[in-house]
Amino acid sequence: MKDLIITINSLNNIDVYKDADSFLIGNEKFAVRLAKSFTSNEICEAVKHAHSLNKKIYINVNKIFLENEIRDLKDYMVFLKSINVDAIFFSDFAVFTIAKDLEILDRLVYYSETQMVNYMDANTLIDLKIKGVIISKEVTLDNIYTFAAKVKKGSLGVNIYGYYHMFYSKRKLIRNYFLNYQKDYSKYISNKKITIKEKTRQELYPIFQDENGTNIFNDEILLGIDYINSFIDKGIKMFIIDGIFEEEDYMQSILEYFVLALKNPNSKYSTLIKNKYPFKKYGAAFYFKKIGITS
Amino acid sequence: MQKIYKPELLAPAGDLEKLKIAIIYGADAVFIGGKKFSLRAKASNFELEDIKEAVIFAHENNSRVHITVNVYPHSEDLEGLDEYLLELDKINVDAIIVSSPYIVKRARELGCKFEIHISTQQSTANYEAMTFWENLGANRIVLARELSINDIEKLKGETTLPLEVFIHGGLCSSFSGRCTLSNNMTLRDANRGGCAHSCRWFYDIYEDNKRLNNDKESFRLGSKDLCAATMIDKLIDLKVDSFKIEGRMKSLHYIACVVQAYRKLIDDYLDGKLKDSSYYLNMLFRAENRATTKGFLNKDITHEDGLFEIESEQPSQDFLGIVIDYDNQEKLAKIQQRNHFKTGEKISVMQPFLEDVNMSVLEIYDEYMNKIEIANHAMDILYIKTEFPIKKYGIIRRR
Repeated sequence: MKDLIITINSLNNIDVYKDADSFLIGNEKFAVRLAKSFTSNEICEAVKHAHSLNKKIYINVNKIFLENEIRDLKDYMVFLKSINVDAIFFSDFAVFTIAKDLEILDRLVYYSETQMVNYMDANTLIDLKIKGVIISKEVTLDNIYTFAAKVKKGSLGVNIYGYYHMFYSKRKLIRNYFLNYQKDYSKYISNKKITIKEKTRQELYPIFQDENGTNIFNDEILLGIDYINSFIDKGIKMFIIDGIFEEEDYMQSILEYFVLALKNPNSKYSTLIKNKYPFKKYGAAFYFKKIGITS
Repeated sequence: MQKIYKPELLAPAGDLEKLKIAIIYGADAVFIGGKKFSLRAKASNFELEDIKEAVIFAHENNSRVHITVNVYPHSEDLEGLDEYLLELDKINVDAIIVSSPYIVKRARELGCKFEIHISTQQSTANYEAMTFWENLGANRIVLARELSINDIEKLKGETTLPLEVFIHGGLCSSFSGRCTLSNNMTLRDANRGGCAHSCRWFYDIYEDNKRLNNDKESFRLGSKDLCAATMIDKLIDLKVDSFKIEGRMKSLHYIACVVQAYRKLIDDYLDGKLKDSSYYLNMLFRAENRATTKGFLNKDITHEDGLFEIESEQPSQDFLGIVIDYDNQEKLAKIQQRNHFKTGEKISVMQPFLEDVNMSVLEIYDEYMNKIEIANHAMDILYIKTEFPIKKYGIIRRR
């Protein structure tokens, strides 16, 4: 059973994105790279509303935590359990230990974005009774298929659409740049229109800084729509459509294309999307790129 | 009887010669990479036979060897893992440094006797995450480099697991293991040993495609190098178990200088004979003149900790040669040359556990004992007449 998961930047999106199965949301105190930060009340409301529509709410808790943040994390996870969220996506193993104590390991999905690159790590974590893992973005299509063939228990997922993440730092790098040149930095913080370009290259990489630190994304949007049916055939269940940096209308349109692709597996919807949005830069991430240790 | 606390000084080594230097100059343990499953692909990593020799040398000198098995292996990289772990166990390595949960679990399933240390690649920063690793079979945590002294103090108060803290060397700008800039920009996998150090490059910054920096300014991601020399006293007071020096790709001279400086610093503090910090800092800066920071140990990171317009690489020409033997009767030091020097040159000699000695080069002979005035071929074997005896592994430097 496929699970089409989409990030949202408004609770209204739950009604708008009718074709999604699940919604991935979070609070900035416990998560990074969110499309929007939701308060506890909003999360509670989201769960009630989504459940009334037979949809699921997944909570992104993908931050790396310092010891002095753990007490609040525990309270937050108790709260998430109490409102019956459907899954918690995590990358810091503190979340695992706390979930074990709360007896909600079966709601955990490992989602570090860079570190889930072999099927044995997936099996190791799933054997510890978690629900599943999301395969990292820097793996090849062949490796995704290997995961699918070798991971027999639990749920496997992939990012199927969105800017792919490539840098997570605790450093406040945009602030530091402007401080270094004694310029005001306030309007560039929590600003999703900032990009950086390496001086000898052309690519403009989105960069985002908030209280948690700095994240950098590739300039290409991962567009895996042409592979979703083969992923499903091979047993991958969770598909994340990440709309960070995107507006509701555009994401609604992308979601509709995914629904069409699921109904008509033989059509190539990536071409239609590329034609409809010629100013966007789409790519296939590392599906066909072999990375090594030398250039 | 209560065990007397003495922190481990853990040094890097890119080859067998550097490993010996690190141990001779005072490292309690050395970490090295094998040819498989190890980051820092550019470091001249060790074959199994070399690891065996390294372990024998280390154990003969009351030191330990930790092997980096710290890549995040992709599915296709896992072949040969069992055999490799068993080989490492057979040759009595003391510990492996690991990032992958599967490798931790597998090493325990195979019954390997070595310790398992969780790499900083996992950016472990709290007690609950440590508990996860301990339950999986880990014996030590190499902490995230984003922790302050206060954070480390809290963790020491909670866990009985030994904690390892980075004290010197290069710093990732991102959380370790959470950066794929290199993968994306150069197709070199940062988490499999191919990091291209894209964070040290120069960038322009834009808002809505409008450039915000002028031609004289650059947006930088990179960090100055870590130097925790002035915080070692606090870290010792916290009873941190291991102090780690980064740099498996660094030179023999660097390893000797940095190990000697921290060896003296730790021993002097424990003996209640701490000198002014400038004494130790001068020793460190002879190794490499790079801009440094106390990193997150001290406070939040600001622009002062970033690289910005600083050119970080400033190679030193000070390292003239290493002593491989000494003839007391003839007062001749047999050396392997590194940088050029000449007769009459004022030099200083650094030796393990001794203060530097200043002297002049009285005479130079080539390997056939022909007298020469100038030594200008790196790696040549030469003899120099000195005023004082010099120990094997002594390092000759320009004054």
